[in-house]
Amino acid sequence: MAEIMQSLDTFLHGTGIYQLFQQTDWWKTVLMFVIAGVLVYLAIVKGFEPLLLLPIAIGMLLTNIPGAEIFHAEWFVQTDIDFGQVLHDGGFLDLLYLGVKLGIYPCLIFIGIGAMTDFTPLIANPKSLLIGAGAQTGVFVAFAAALISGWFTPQEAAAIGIIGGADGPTAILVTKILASGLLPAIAIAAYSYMALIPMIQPPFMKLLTTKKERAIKMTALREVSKVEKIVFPVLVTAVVGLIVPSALTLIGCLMFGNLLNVCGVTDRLSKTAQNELINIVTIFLGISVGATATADNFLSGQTVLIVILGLAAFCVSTCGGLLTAKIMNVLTGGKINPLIGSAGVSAVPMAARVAQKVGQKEDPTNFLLMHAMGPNVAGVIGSAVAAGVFLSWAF
Amino acid sequence: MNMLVTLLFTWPNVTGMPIGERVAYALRMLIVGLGAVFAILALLWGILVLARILLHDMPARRREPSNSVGVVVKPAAPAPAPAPAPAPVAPQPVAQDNGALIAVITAAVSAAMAEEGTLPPGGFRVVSFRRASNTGAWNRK
Repeated sequence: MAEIMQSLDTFLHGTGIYQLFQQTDWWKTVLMFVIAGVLVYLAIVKGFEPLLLLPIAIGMLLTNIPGAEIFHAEWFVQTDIDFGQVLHDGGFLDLLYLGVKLGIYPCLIFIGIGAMTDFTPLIANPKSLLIGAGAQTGVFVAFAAALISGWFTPQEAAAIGIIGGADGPTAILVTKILASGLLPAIAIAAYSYMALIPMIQPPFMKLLTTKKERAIKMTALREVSKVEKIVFPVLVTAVVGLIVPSALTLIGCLMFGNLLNVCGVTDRLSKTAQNELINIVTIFLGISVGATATADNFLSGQTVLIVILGLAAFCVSTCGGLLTAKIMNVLTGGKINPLIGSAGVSAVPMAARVAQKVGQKEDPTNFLLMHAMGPNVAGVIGSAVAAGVFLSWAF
Repeated sequence: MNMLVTLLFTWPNVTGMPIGERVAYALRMLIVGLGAVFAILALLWGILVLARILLHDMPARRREPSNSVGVVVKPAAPAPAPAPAPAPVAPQPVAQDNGALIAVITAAVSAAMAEEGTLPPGGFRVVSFRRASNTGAWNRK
């Protein structure tokens, strides 16, 4: 009987519930469960970036269950990671997290994004690159604001600023390298704001453009030859790589994926990159980023500030793109609809769709989607270059 | 130069800086960073324009003379008696039979002119057509 009681006692002491209430800050863990639940709700019911928010939420849930030991955040905080320990004693999420820690997942995702992205509108109208550059204003403004606040180191400020680039993999890669402690907060903020683009951008679009400007019809884009499509990724990789080598990881993967798509002889690889590869890596990335959101790491004043600064970065980036497009509209004698400027934040293709929608509200016969895709994909390149600039400062 | 690079491209301990220095440092980094992004993307723009000239415009110009569809029709100088019907009449193809193509293009032009209100009351005659350049006609306004 005594043995049975002892076994029962051992079992009860091993339960998650017992261990939860043994913690001094047990309410923090419960709060994390609630946050994970909210993310699940947003992903499934509201459809906010479900492909990433759902894995993040589940990773968050798993990592916060006491006693499960499937993720050890403390192993990855130190600069000298004991990879032997991770491989021998690590849990499921420790092993998956290696892909984040080593910067593999964001690059693989960029290959998939490159394969899925049609750069034709940008090749046809390369001026769009300037709008993509203007839409990085929020990145550097938020960076400066975080620095001025005095709460963050320059590395942390850079990781916060990159939220304004509206590019999840870029934000994750930069944060992983410069401020890995902020990874969960930044990843969640970045993906949440990307999902909220249809709500965040339109007020700024209407505020910064006149009714007449919103109704501008742009001339159709020229045809782009196959040779141009093939030369484009090679050129961009070479130019950006030679100037900002630290951006090459992202740009190189993005352009490699695109080359697979446009060259016409690697259809199987292109389809794999667009589907299986990006889907598998998205699951791994999401669940392991979510796993870093432990109660101690996530529930802090810093997270609140990151969320606020990230939102500011996003809004300023939208305004930066709009104002750049407005200036270009003036310089070209009214040929550019400034609404396409808002698509300069990367978030492909949602930002371009928002530009199309707002434009059609003014004139239902106006089709801005293809014109907005130019700045949109320019934004992807722009945010990767901005990330490269930050990384070049760091080393 | 080295001092400038060190000043701009190293991470100082900003949290220990007085607010004035921190603001100055942050603004400097903002200008340099955003400037660098603009400069790189502007350079890329220039290179893409160059690529367009080399890979698109020049080949198109070279192809243009041989690119006509093969229908070289001289305007009928002694115009045959104008057809009473307003229906456009396709000229005789010389090189090959492009009757269907001509009919489609003529119908499209007619529809566009009718929509714009510029269709002459007596209709019009197509006396020749040729490809304007390598770019698609529908891409032009």
